[in-house]
Amino acid sequence: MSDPLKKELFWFALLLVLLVLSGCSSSDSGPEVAVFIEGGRVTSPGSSLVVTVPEGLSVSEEEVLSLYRAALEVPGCSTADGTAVDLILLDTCLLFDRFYLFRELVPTQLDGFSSARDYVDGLRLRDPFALYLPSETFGGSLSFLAGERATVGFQFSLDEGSVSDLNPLIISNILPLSRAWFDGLQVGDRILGLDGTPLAGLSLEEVRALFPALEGQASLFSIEREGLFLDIATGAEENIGLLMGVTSDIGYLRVRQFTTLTGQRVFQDYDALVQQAGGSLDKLILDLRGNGGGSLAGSLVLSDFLIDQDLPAGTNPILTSDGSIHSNAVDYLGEFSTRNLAAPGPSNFVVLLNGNSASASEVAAAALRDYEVATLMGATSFGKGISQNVFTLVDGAGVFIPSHHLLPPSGISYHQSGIVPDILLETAPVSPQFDAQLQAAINFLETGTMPLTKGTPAPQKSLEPLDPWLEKQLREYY
Amino acid sequence: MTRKIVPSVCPYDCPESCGLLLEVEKDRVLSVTGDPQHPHSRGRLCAKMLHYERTVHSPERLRTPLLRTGAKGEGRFRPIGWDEAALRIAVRWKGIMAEHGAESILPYSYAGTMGLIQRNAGHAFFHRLGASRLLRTICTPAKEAAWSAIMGNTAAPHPDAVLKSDLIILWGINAAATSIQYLHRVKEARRRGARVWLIDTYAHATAAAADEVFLVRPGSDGALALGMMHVLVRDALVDREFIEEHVQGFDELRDQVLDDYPPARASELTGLPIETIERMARAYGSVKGSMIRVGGGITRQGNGAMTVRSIAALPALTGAWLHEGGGCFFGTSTGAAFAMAELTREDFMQKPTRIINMNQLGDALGKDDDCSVRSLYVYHSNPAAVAPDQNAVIEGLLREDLFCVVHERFMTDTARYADIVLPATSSPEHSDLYRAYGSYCIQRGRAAIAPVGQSRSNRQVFSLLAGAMGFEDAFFRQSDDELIDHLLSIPSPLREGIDTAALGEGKAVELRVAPPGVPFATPSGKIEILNPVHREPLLRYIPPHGGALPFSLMTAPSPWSLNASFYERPELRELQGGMSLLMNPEDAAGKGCCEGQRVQVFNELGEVDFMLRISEKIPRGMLVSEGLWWMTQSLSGRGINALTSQRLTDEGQGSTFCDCRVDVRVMKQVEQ
Repeated sequence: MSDPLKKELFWFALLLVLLVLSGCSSSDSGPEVAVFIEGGRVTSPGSSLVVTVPEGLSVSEEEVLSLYRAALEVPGCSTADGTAVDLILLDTCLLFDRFYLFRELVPTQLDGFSSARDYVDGLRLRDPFALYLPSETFGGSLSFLAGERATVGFQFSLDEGSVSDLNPLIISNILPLSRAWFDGLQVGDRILGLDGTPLAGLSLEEVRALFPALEGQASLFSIEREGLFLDIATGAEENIGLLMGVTSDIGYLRVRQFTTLTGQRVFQDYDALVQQAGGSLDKLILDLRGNGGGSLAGSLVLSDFLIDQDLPAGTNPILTSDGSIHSNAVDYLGEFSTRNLAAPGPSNFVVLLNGNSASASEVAAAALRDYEVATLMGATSFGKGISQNVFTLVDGAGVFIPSHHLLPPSGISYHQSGIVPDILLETAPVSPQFDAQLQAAINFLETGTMPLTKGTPAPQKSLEPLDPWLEKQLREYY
Repeated sequence: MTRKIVPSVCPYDCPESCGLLLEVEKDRVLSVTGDPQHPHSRGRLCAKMLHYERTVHSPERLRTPLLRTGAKGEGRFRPIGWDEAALRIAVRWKGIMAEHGAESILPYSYAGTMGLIQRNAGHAFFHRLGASRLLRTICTPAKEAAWSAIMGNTAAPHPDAVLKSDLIILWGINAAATSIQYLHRVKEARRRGARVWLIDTYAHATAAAADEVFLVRPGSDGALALGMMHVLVRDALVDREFIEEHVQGFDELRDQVLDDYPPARASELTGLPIETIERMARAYGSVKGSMIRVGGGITRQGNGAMTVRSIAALPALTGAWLHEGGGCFFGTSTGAAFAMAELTREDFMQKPTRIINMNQLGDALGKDDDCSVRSLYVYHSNPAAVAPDQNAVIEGLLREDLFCVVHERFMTDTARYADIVLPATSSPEHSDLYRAYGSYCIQRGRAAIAPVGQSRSNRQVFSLLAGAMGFEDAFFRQSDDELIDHLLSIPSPLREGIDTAALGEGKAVELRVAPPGVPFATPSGKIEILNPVHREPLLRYIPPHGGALPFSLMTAPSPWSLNASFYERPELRELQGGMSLLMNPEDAAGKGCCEGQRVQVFNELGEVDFMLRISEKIPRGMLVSEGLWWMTQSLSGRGINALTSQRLTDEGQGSTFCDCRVDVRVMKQVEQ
C-alpha cells in the first residue's frame, strides 16, 4: 500500500485502532512570552521562530498564540535557518512530538517541509501507520469509526485522478459472505455507475460519497463484466449472524469492522441466534476475516462479552508498551463491561482470521486465545500491534499517530509478525463460490477434527455428505 | 427473519428427481440437503445438488434482460427492461411473420428444467403463434421406440425390484454419474448376494460396483445380446413354458436370426472372447432373478434402437419377468399421470406446422431459402454447446438475419449469440409439478424464494410475450399454481389412491403402478420379439454409422456435471479437472503423446483440443471425454460437439452422439 489515497483506498480506515482526541494539542499554555501576530505572520522578539497562518483559515488568535508558545518549548518544531513555518505543519509537529511512539523517526528540524502532509508522508516512508488525511477525507473516517459510515464488501482499485475509460474503477477483491459476495459482484467487475449516477469524471472522494453510507443500505451498482453490462442490487455491509452446521446448532457471527456500536450489534445478533436455535447455542464461530480493525472500544466490548471473566487490571488485552493500561481501556472497563457470555470453550468456539484481520480484530483474537476461550483458525493475521491516536488539526485535516504498543495477555507482541492461528488453513483458498475455511471451522466444531492442515489439498475436493461409498469410488477414480 | 425448511425437487434432467430440503432465509437458499422422507432418494443427493444453493445464488446468474451491443457471439450486451425486451421481440416477430410466415420462427428447448409446467411452458404459445415445431429427440427416443416395439405399453419394474435380483447387469450406464439412487439399490442388492456386471465401452467409475466388467466395442452391444441368445437357445437355457405362453416370435428368432450370431460372430463384432460370451450366456441363463438396467448412451448410436431392443429380448427367453427381481429396466414412464394436452395445447394450432428435428439444428439454421429459420427462441437449453455438429450450429447462430432470443439463468454459449437475453429463474424461484423417469414419484414444488434479480420463469415470460403479441387467451394469464391446480383437478388412473394432502404440502408421493407381468401390455399380450407391424419385425445386428477414422470417441457423462449444466460452478469444474481426453496407454504411445499434453481430436466436422489423460481403463481404439464443456471454457473455443454429427438413430429420430469416429494429432508446443 504505497499510497493509500490512490490505491485500495476504501478500507484504509480499517487498519486503525484509535482514540479520537479533539482539537489541537495545546492543552497547557506554555511560558508567557511576548508574541505578535501581524499580517498572517506570528513572531516573538526572543525567538527566531516565524509562523505563517494560511489565508482564510478559521482559527482564533488564542489558539494561534497557544500553538506558538508550545512550539517555543520544542526544538524540533522550528527551522534552523529561520524560514517561516506553516501553522498547520507546526500543529502536526507538536502532536507528533508529544504522542509519537517512534520518537527516533521524528525530524530534528522542520526545514524542507512545506506542509503537514509533507511532514507525515516523510514519516510514512519508515512507518506505515503514521497518516495524514485532508479534511474532506478525514470527516468520513471519523463517522465510519463512530459506526455512522458503513463499508462495502469489496475493495477496488483506481489510479490517481478521476474515473474514466483509461482509469476505470475495478473491483480488486471480494470478501466471502459479504453482501457484495452474496449479491454477485465479482473481482474484475468495472463499476460504471451507482444508483443511476455515472461515475465517469468523478474523483475518488466523489465516488466514495455515492457509496451507501449506512449499515445495510441498498444501492444499485451498474457494472461491466466481460463486455456485459449488468445492474446488481447490493449494498453496504452489515454484520451478520447465521445458524450453520448439519443440525443448525453453530452460531456464526461475522464482524466486518469495529465501530463504537459493534458490541451492541453483536449482542443483538447473538440473542437472535439463541432464539432461533431454540434457546441455547453451544457452538460459535466469530469471523474476523477481512476485519481490518476500527474502534478499539468496539473490540474490547466484544472481547469482554465473549470472555467469561472479569478482566483483571494489568492482564487485559490492551496493556501498553509502558506497562500502563491504555487510556481507552479505562473507559472500557468502567463503562462497557455490561454482559458476559458463558464461554463455550476452545473446542466449541472458533475465531476465523486471515491476513486482512488487523488491529482491533487482532486484539480480540489474541485475547480470546490467551484466555483459552477460542480456537483460532485461518491464516496468519496482519500484524498490527500498535494503536494510533487520531487528532484533528486546526484546519480540519487529521493525523493518525502511532502511540502505543498493544500487548495481548500473554505479553508477547504480534506486531509485524501477526497472530499465527492454532490451526493454519493457509492452503485453503476462499472463492466467492465456496468458503473452505468456514467449512473447515464447521467441520472442526462438528467432528473435533482438523480437516485441513498446511499442505493438504484444497477442500473443494470435499464431498462430505455424499454417499461415502460413492465418494470413495469417485475419489479413487478421478 | 425466520429460517424455514422448504421441500423441493431436483429439476435437472436425470432419472432420479431426488427430493430436496431447502433451508431458506430472506429469499436466499442457505443450504440444500436430501429429503430423508423421499420414497426414492431417501436423503441421498449427488455431489452437484449437495450445494445447489451455489447455482441458485451463483454470481454468474443473469439478472436483467440484455440487448446485444456487440457482434454476434461477442457477448457484449446492455441491460434493458422487461417491457422493452418484450416489445422488441414482438415487433421483430410480427415483421418476420408478415414477410416470411410464422413457421420461420423456431422454438428450441429441452429439459433444462424437468418440471412439467416450466419445461412445457412454450408449447401453447408457439402453437398459438403458428411457429415451427421442434422434434425434441436429443435424449433417448431410440430407447422408447425399442421398448415400445417389444414391450408395448408395459410398465417398467419398480426401481426397488432390483433389491431382489440375483444378477444385475448394468448395461451401458455410468450410474455413478447418472443414476446414483439406482446404483445405491444395486450396491444394496450386491450386499445381499447379487452378482453385478457392468457391460460398457470403458471402465468408468461405476465399475467399482461390479463383480465383473465386460468391455465391448461401441455399437456392438446388440451383437452381444444376440450371441448370448444364441447360446441360451443352443444350450436349452431358455424357459420353454414362459416362451410358449408369453412370448411372440421365439421360433422365428431361433430359426431366422440366431443362427447368424454364434459366439464366434458375436466375438468378432464385440471384441469379447468367445469363452466370455459363452460364460455370460450360461450365467445369465442359470438365474431367474436377472435384472438388466439399460443406460442412455448405448442408444445414441446409429443402431441404438435395435441394440436395446435386442437386449430387452434377453429376459423374455429366460422368463426373468416372472421373478420379482427379474426383467429389464429402461426407465419409468409416467406421462399418463397428467393431462399433458392441457399444458401443450395443440388445439391452439390453426394448422399442423412443420417439424424440425432438434438434432439437426445446424442444418435447419443453415438453410437459406424461403423456409429458412429467421428467428430462434431458446429457453432452458444451450444448443450451441449441446446440439451435435457445433460448427454448423454456430455458423447458423452467426447469421445476421437470424433474430435470436435466449432465456437462461447463465451467459451460456448460446446466450452469447443472442440478440436479446432474458434472465430465467431457477427451480426454488418458481412453482412446478414434477414427475420422474427413474422412479414413480411425483411432487409439487412451490416457489421458495423470490426470483434472483429480475429473472422470470418460463411461463411468466410466455405470458408476457403473449400479451405483447396480443394473444387474449385466458390460458396465458393463469398463474403457475393455478395451472398446477387445474392439472391436478383432472383425474388419472395413475394417480388414484395417492395422498393428495401430502402432494399439496410439497411432499413426494408414489404413483401406484402395477408391476410388469402377464399379460404384457402389447397388442398380443405377449412380449413381441416378433413385431409383425414393425418395419423391422425381427431382431438383427445393424452396424452403427461408424466412419473411416481410427478412433471411436465416447462423449460420456461426468459425475460433476449434467450435460452442459453445472458448468457455472467452479468447484465442480475443478473436480472434473478441465476438458480432458482419456486414451489407452498403447494408443497414446503409438501417437507419441504423453500425459497432460494438449492434443487435437478431429474429423470431417471439426477440430477440438483436449488435455490428454492416459488411462488403462480405456480400451484400445477408444477415446473418452467426460462432461460437456462450454465453448467459453474450452481450450480451443470448441466443445466436444464440434465432432459429433447430425445423423439420427435407426428409430425414434434420436441423436447419435456416441457414434463418432475421429483421429488424434499432437498439438505443437507453443512458445510462451
